[in-house]
Amino acid sequence: MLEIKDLVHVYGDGHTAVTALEVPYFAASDGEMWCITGPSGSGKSTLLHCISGLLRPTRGTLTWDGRPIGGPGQGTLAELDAWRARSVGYVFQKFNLLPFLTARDNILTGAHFGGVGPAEARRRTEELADRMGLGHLLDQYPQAMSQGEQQRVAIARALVKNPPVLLADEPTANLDAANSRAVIDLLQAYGARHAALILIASHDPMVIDAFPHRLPLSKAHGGERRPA
Amino acid sequence: MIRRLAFQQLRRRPVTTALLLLVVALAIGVSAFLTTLHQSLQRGLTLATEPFTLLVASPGSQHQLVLSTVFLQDRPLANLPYAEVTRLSDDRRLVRNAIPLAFGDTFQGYRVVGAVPAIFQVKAAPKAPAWLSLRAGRPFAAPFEAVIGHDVASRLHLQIGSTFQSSHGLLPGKKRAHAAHPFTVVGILDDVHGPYNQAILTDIASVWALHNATAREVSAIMVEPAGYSQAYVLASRYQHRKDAQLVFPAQTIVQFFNLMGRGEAMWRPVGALLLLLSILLVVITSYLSTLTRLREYAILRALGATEKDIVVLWLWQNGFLLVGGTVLGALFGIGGCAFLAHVLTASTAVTLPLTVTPALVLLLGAAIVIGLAASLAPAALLRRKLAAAQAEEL
Repeated sequence: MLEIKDLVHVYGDGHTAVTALEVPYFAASDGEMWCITGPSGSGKSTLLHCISGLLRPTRGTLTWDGRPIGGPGQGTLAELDAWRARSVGYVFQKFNLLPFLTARDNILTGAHFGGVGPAEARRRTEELADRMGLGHLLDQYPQAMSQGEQQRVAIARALVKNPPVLLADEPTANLDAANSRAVIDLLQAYGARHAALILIASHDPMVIDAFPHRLPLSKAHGGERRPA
Repeated sequence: MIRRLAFQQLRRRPVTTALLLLVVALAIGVSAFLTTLHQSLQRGLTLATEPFTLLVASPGSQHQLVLSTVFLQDRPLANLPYAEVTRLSDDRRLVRNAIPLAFGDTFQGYRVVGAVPAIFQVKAAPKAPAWLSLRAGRPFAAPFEAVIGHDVASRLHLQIGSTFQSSHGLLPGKKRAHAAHPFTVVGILDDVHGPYNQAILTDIASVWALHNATAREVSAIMVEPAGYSQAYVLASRYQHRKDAQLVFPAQTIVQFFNLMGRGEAMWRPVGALLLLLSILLVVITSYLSTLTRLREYAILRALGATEKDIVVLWLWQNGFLLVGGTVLGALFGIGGCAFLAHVLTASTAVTLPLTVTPALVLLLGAAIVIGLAASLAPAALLRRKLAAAQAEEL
């Protein structure tokens, strides 16, 4: 279970300090699918960065199954890196595929840093590619792919290490309706199959409607959700 | 995987990569070329002088004497009377062998060397085989019989029994052929790996006959002393003579290399500076180019790469550039030297054995190690930059 308490993140300091995120309390269990909503600047991406360990929040605590995964003074950099590497799959709005690698190598890179051995990584890559209809794209570079294809490769890269937590930051923002639907289906199918916690930041109504749980964030203050 | 990522990133920017490789290759290449050339020349020239323990000639430039007698280049010094040969030959206590050499004619650019048959017994060292061995035929035994060098035979397609007429004069220009006195090839030398591959050896009487010499004279005398100390006794005898000089060709070559060594010593700091500048250029360019690709590193971090992984990736990239540039540079340097050796061998028959010295290997290794060490400071900077920009780049 992911639990967040009194989370605040401030960018800059002194006169330039801007509070980007406030989440008094949030908890989500394995297998749940959450949509983080809110206008631009409400801290959706910042929250995902904090959960992934890429960003250490200014205040508050984050735990996964009771283990600290962030927060000031919580966990070393190596521990945060290990948490992100092994347990977090990350999908981005701009896909963020590495342009100098083929689709196959992009996916394998995700597996490598996720601690998956080379043979198993190759097996999983082929299997994911088959399942996601990417087989014909594996030897292509991102520039040669459509945006929908790029996002599917990016999702494969995030899923190849079978992470218990999947974070997606506006994954459909650059896609048409059909591709958006396909992406959401893929994420939900993964969550259902692996009982993974899925947190997706979006202001796309189709996405918001597709997820049973919502965490609304506002510019002034974050949302609040306590376990039932 | 990190090595693969590093390589693929370099492949992705071929122009920058090629330019950086070239910069390192040029800096290494110049140093490798000069070091190899110096070593090869020293070995090649020393090898060529080995059969010539001592030379006696009329007074003049020692370098000109060695050039004309050992390397068959330049003009010989003024002639000496043949009586000097007799005087040396008669001194059995000090001299094992005194071989007169006379120059003056060429055939198609190859020098006719008047000598005596004893030249075929000369050895480079007491236990070494004879310096001039025959591949075919026999030594000359009478005037106008010729034993031709390996290159002369192969380039002019001369065989045993072939005849030719020499021309008067050693240097290029208008020549007068000695039509009345044709030479007959009676022997062909094995490859001696030296300038005498381009010699036409004949009895010294032929040279006197060609020039209708009234007095028997020689251009130089090749002296094999009876021993090491006898050589110095001989040298002391010639020290105060005004009409003749005695030269140790090996010493002349050493003097020449001392001069060259000074040039090389002057080059060394310049070469080192060039090398350091090229390494600096690689590290800085690589760093600046990395700053433009912070997003790629941020993506890798988001995928789970640690900061250490990023630093290792960066070091691999610089490692590829430094090792690739060093290997290319060594190839340029040694290849350039091999080319020069080939040209020199073709024109002078001086063989330059290519030598990869420990100093050169050390230089190549040092370039890589210094380059990688120099990469560590920017790697730390990169780590800080990435940490600050991480969230914004994604």
